[in-house]
Amino acid sequence: MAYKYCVAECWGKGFITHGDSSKFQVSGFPGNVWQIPANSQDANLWVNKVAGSWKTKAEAQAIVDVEVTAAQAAWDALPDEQKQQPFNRQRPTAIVLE
Amino acid sequence: MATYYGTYGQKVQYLASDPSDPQTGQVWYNSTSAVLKVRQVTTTGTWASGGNYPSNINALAAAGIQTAALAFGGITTANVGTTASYNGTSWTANPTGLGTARRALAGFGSQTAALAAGGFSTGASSETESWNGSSWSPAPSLNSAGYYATGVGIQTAGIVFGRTSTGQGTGATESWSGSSWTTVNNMVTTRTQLAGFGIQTAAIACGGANPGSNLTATESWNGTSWTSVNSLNTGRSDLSGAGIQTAGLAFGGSTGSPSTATELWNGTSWTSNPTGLNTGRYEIGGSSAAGTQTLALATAGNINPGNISNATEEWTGPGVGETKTVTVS
Repeated sequence: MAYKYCVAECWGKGFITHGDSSKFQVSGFPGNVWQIPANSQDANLWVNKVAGSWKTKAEAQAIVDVEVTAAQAAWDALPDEQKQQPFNRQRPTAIVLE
Repeated sequence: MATYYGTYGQKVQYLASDPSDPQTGQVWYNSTSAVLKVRQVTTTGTWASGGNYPSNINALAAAGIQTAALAFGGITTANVGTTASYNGTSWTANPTGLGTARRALAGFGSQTAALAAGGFSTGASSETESWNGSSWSPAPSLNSAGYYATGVGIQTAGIVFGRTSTGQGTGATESWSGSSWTTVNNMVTTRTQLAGFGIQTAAIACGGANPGSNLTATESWNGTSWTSVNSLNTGRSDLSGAGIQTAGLAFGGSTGSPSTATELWNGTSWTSNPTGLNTGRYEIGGSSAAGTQTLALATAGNINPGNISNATEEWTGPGVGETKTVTVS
């Protein structure tokens, strides 16, 4: 499936409604990046509703990468002892947008 | 040709506004909006945005129902005792929080009468605290300290199961009488970071982790002992659960990456909902989340390791009545 991307800040209730979810799949990523189907009028209307800023896939990927890189740096800075704890067992992994 | 009158026994009503209590199968014409409408039952569930939690947080606990929930503890940049209430629209932080700030704790009960047990403060905790609707009070400690347990029940009758204090999961189960903890039979599969739902005498444990594995294992508790039952479709840890032993829900978690998976338990087996959480995440509040199989709440959590969210999602499951506009083209 082909996707499009936008950036929008989730304001809370009403941002994604059950009606939205029943019509198309919205997928959220770090950096307030949202992925929607490329050929959905309902999804386009949703981006308009949430005042989303359209991004190309490359732009969206760059935003996600910044978030993941910051998280990886924070993990790398942890003492080895803390990295062994269940809370910190996983170094943040790269997210590749489809 | 079949007619609506012949099938349903009534004519299509011509109404200026939608009926206040439409029945499943009822069809009417809304003359104000000039559309034909029908009342039907949903066949799949969906997640929608709820009010944002007051802070980005994960590994918190929850109690209550979707429209009257409580969340407590967790970690922001440090362990917190923050306690907040949800009214179905927005979260309100309570002026006071847990006596001991901690994360990865078990919680159960209602918005006005809840229990917090175990967790991780400066180390594995056995502390128990009781919530009366406005403040927390110390209560007798768990018999064994641990974090990443799950708990189900009400403030005066619950169980806590699974946990870790070393990184290795355990099958430890403790029963709460309202005034003390009793160690009871272990789970079949040792684990931590699992989900659960149900009550003190009839519960389900599902998923979780032991080092290096994300589990699908599901077990049923009859008040005395655990029995292995049909497994989750997607193995994962740090997931959340809601509901009762015969009608439950498991959602989110980590498969190695944040999961959106949402599965429904019918008392015998799991069915994957066609769509999942809008944002995949784990360590949502809590391992036993607020709500039921039909109406549940997913609060905050990790959307990737190191990326913590404040977003809330509200679940409406299949079998719920909804009004739809009939389109013919």
